[in-house]
Amino acid sequence: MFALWATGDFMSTEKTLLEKELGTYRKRVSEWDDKIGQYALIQNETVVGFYTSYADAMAQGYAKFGLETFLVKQINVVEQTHFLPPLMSPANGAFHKAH
Amino acid sequence: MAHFTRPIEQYGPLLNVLLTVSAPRMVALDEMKKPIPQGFVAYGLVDTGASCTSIDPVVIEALELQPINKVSMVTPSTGPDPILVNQYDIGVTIYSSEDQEPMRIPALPVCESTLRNQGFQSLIGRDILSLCLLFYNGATQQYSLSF
Repeated sequence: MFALWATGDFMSTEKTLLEKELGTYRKRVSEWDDKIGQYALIQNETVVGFYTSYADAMAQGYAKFGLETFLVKQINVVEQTHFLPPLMSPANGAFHKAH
Repeated sequence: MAHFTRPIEQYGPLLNVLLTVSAPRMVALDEMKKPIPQGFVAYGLVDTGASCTSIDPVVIEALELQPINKVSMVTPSTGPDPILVNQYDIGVTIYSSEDQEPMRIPALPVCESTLRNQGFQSLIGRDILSLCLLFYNGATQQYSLSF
């Protein structure tokens, strides 16, 4: 599904940001059946912890890493897809095809 | 329960929303003795068609945010295949009137979307609306929001 991440086909630093963390999430998410709905805090290849609330995960992330890059992602069996209505477009350069 | 009623404008039900860095980020910036970016008063469209709240890049720049996640998103303009968009951590405050407590969400993950060409900088999605009562009166061209 996330072929571009696997091939490393990125055009800018912006797109590579969080690449390692998302790779770690995808590698490990199948181990976390008992943590569905919780928020995983990840930096590079390290899974720092799991939190029941988004705010707690963010607080821990900032406490441990300050303004460095880290990932906070809710654990789901199937990746949640968000929907936007017509006339809206995701920001230029901030996205790429997921397939 | 705080509430307000406003006219439905040309672009739909719009409101002013104060967007700030999230409370956890504010604490981190304060502890690092770094300046805390001023809040951004955005024009927001109340949108039941948006599953998540979105902000324009102009807000991201003003609040000096960095992405904390990437999520899949589908819009009619992207076709059937989801695309990946950055998600950011912000705080949201919606005011009703001076004598009523505003709605404060200290930390909320929001998506990035180019909106300013539409005349607003934020989409108020169902993640926020799930905390509210929304009444859309098309006959009188007014809407009410309670929280």
